[in-house]
Amino acid sequence: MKDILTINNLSILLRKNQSQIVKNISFNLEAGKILGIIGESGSGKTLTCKAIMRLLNEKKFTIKGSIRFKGDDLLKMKEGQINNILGKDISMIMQNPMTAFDPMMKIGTQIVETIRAHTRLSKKEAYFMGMKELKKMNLKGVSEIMNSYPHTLSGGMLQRIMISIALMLRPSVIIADEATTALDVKTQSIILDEFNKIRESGIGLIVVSHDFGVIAKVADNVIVMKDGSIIESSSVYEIFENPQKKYTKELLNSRLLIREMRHA
Amino acid sequence: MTRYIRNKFIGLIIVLIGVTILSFIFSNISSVDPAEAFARRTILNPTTEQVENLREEMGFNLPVHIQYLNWLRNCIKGDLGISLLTKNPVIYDISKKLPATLSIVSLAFLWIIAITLPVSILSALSKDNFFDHIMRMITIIGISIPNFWLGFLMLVVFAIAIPIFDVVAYGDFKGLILPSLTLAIPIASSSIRLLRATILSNMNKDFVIYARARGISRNNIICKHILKNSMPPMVTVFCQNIGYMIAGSAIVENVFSWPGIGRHLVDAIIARDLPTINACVLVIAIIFVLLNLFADVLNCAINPKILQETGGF
Amino acid sequence: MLKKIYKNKQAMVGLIMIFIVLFIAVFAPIIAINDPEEINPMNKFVKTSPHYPLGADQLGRCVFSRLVYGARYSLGISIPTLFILALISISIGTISAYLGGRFDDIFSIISDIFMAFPPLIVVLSLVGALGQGIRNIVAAVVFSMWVWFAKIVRSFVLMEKNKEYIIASKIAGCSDYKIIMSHIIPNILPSLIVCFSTGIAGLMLMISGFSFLGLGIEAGAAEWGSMLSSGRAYLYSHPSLIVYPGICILFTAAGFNLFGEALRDIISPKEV
Repeated sequence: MKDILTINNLSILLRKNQSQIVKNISFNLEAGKILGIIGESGSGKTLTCKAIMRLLNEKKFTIKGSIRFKGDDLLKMKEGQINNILGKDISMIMQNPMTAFDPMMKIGTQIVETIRAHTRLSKKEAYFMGMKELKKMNLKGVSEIMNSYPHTLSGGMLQRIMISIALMLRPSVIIADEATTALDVKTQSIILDEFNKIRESGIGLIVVSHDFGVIAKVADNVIVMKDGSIIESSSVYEIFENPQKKYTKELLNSRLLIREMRHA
Repeated sequence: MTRYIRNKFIGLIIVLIGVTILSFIFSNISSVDPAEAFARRTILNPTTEQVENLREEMGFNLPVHIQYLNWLRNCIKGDLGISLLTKNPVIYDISKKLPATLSIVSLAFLWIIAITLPVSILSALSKDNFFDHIMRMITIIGISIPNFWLGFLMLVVFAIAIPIFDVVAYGDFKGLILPSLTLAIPIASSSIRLLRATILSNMNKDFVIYARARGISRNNIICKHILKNSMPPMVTVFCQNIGYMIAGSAIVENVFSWPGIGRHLVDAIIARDLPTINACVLVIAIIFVLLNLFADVLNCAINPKILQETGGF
Repeated sequence: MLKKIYKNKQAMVGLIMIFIVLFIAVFAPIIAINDPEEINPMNKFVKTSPHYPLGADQLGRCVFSRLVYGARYSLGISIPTLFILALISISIGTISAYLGGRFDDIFSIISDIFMAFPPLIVVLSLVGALGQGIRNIVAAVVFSMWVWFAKIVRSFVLMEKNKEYIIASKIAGCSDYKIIMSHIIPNILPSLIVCFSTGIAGLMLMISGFSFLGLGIEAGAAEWGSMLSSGRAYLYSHPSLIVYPGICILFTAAGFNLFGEALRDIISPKEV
């Protein structure tokens, strides 16, 4: 399979005291696969995602290594180049849908804004495109959604809108950072089904979670992170059937029930 | 929505009634006998009898609540009494003086907006850089400087040392510049500090990170998202500041010999001209209440969340 | 907490400025070279000399000594005013927020009414009605400002009141009095210090503004605002007479503001 994202020797250091938060990690993402990153909070998984998207405050962090997207190093790009890639080629699904949208801007406007940042469509065309894409997510009352402010919609609804925005411009990579954590179980499983559909369309997905249940349901390959390092990395079956490290076993033991569910 | 407006409206009425009661109390807790004060002004060496007659004539012998109601009735009719100092109807004096004050205040308001917005945005963007440090120092001085002193410094520098402006310059636009700047600088300083802090706290919000993740350009994020979200607290503060400036004009108008309502009020206080004091306070308070109301309405218009959150109590 | 203040440059600068003014105010009789009230027409507007470090004013009084005594007025009025204000606003704000319900509603209405007046106007009209004098100025300032401070205290208490440990100690059977005194007040104290430290700068500016207008303190007193006011007649010939008192006011107010703002940064690091 073709690698679309290759991370090599990525390290993230805090500028203030040069302490290393993410330590020399390497992994790659294939098209049409889901890569799960699992770890406790503070293990550096969110920082890694943010580093890939260049969302880290470069005054606070030093980032070393390389992140190659289709051959080009994202870390060497200028702000303008990065802006062209983000949202179009690499898009993100955030953890908390309730706070991710600008509370003072209608959903429609935020969708149009995203589309127009990457295409030459007129406002009207972008608006229709947005409506069309929302309908694909099986959302009902699309024109009302476009016309409403984020606080009037439910978390599950907003999360699906966010997925729809992430898919809108046909990206090659989607990063979902704890995208299901803030949702109830039912909505969570709807969202995970969506992830499986996304994989089928040939997009590479990085799903970050602290929850083995989520990873088990969708991931093809899994990376286990602890204290900023990758301590284990293999296919999802390997991890579940034959975990190599004690830490992974511990994580798994607390999640045995969910494994049963997966086999059921 | 209608419920919100209705509640606001009821609140407004209660506040207005409270305002009239309070301004009535302010002018009536005086230890000075108003009838006697008036008598002394109108008649040379008034006898006790004359004072008593005046008291009855002016209604000062009635119970306080009747006096209040009479006063209120007259207020609503637009009759705020006769000034003891100028012998004109108070409302006439105020209508003569208010425009002079409003012209300084409105120019000062323009200065505040023109200074605050760019400086705080630049300051927030270049946080901890040279510009930000300099601005933080300047604004600390700005909020610590007594504005009458600032006015004098302006006069000494721009009217005496470098004579660009006249010392007493009421009448043309040029004359407005120094007083309005004097009024604006301390308030602009505090607004810059507030807006900078608001922008900075918004910069770390989730919605900014998500906007960046969607590839929105930095400029668009700042203008369309961060600034817009920083506006609601600023709208309230700006509107309140207009009220503060009308009150603060008392000092600045004194420095620049500006014939506005603030100076009129101070003159009235020194001369113990109760009807004038009373009316000035009432007018300024009503302007202040209306400005606050305007800020609420404006915030409702720009912030869709307010109507939902405070819809009922 | 103290260590953080000690480490923070801005806070230290502010504190040192405050202490300088305090020191001058306390030891004014020792620091001042001449009697601040001593009128000597012979020395009218004399230039700087060892005997008159900053010259003399229109009545031949030593400007330096007057400035030194001015610190007494400035702090001597604003600090007690602040104490009264703090006492009133903390008790009313806390009670209103803690009890809630009808009491809080009434407080809201009253505060709405009081907040319809810019504080300066309330003080002006009260001084107009009560007459001048330091006591009246203090009363008027307290009357005009208490509601603004009480409102701030109330918002702090409201935030604190809903925290889990308060609810827990309520369930554990702590009395309201004990919860307020040993939990709520100590926890909101840093925020209160910030608010009152910047508040005292505002009070000083306001009070000096009144004496500048000739309201409040008797004319001719060695108070910075009234020195400025009496110096204005000599704006052209002797601008130094208005420059020095202004610098003193600015210095003191800046000290409190610097300290207050630095303290705010220390207790809420998330904002920076």
